[in-house]
Amino acid sequence: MNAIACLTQQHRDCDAILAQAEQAVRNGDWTSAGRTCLRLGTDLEQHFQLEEQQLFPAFEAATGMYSGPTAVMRNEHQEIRLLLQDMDDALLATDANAWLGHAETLLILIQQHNMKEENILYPMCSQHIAGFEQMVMAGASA
Amino acid sequence: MSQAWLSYDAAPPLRLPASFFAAGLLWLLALGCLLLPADMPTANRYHPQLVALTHALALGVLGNIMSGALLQMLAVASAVPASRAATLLLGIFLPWQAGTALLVGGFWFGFAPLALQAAAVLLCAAILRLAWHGLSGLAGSPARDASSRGMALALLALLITALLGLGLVLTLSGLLPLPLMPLLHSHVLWAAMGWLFLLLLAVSQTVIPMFLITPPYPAWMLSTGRAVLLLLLACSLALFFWPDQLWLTAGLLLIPVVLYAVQSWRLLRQSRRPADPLWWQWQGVMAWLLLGGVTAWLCSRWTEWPNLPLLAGLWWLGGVGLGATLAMLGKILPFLAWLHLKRLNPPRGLLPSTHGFLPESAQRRVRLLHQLWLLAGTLWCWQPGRFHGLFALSTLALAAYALWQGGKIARRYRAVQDAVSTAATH
Repeated sequence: MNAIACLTQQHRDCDAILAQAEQAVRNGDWTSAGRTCLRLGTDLEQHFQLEEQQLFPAFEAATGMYSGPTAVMRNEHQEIRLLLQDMDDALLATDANAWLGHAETLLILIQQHNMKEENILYPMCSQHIAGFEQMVMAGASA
Repeated sequence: MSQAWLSYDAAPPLRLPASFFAAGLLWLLALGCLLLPADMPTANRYHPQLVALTHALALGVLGNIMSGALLQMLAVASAVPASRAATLLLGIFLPWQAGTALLVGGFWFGFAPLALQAAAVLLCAAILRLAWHGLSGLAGSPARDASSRGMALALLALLITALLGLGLVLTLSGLLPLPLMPLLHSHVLWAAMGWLFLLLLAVSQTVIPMFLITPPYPAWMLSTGRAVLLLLLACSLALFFWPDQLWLTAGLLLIPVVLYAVQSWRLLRQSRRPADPLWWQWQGVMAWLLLGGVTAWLCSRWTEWPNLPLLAGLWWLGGVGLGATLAMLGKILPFLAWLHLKRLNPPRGLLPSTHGFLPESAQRRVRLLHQLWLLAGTLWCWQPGRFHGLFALSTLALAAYALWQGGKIARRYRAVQDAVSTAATH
């Protein structure tokens, strides 16, 4: 598996966990939903850390673009974190309608965010960052 | 480094896609209003009223929603910026509405040549501008995914459809001595299989796996779009030079349709989000795709039953086209409203989720009304004289409900916008 495939797989894994949490909420299984949401938050944060701490700085250094696409991606990461908080609040209140609404918003936000990364940013990172493959593989296995 | 990449975050302002979406729903209402006084006694695909109604649906309803969604998707998925919204509205939206209105009116009033010629010029200008925006942007974009490549093919097919339409209008007006029927059938094939099917193929390869969490489409699906374009060329040649062999090339065109529908069904069965209303809507789209495709192919062999082309058109445009566009509108519009309000940095708790703009129950009702509309339409294709009132009323009901929901989204949007402004001043 190359670096882009590895990063893309991390996206897909998080999608699958979100879907699992959604199913649990729809079934009224709040215990399972809580566990799955915790896993989702951890996995997403791990992925964001790899991007924000390693990938984006390397891209910015290689291209000189500090306020371009990486700034947009960081901003969207922040929005995703806020939505995760909203979902946590709904989870604590066992409010299924609120949770499902925030989860759908998160899903669409994540999907359009992933599209930008997978279609545009990752190929550009692969093109401009020396040692891109090693950086991602080391970060993913950390 | 391309300009598209530098303008990475240049997503269109909300008014650009929203104008197209609103116009699409208003055209659906206009379709219902046109159906009310329609007096076509028996099925006849060449009846002026039917040609007018078909173009109101294809260009007014579907063309608007597809163009708005395409501009949005080009910006988000393919880094083709649409920052100059006013220019695009002026160059695409306005001539599209004026051209469609003139075309529908021209057909309705017995193929009025001046109206048709003006319509053809306006629509060709709008389509040229859209195709230039998309194709030149895609050429400079670093995106090479299935959807980006598919959208380029669909735009190319749209351009050919428009040129064939222009040829038809000039032939009908006596300004060009081209063979009318091969031109007409080619126009229909490029519109239905080129523009509509290729765009569906392109968009669904991103939308189905991402929104419904399914495995990705297999790699061979990438080449399906190119194969469809080649088959369309073969069909057009057959129509002009070997019209008796059309059933064979049209039959070959059925192969990608069936392969795509079966593959999509297989993926939908593996979806991890089957409770989402979108799942049922895409299931329906695939069913109508097969029904419409087979019926259209039968039209090339079986000419005894004049209702068949009407059914093929209804199931393809109304079942597949309207089904898919309504399904996607239900996801795109609430999210765009949320996204644009989010950029105003609202205080925590003020911004509703996408369900706060459009609940799942409303999406299910749209689906139900759409199915009832198709049932009424099927009856109308069978006996137009008897069921036109029912079809008109079901069209008006579907349009009114969709517009009401659209209005609710707009009101909620403005209310949150005002609340954010008030919060910012205190």
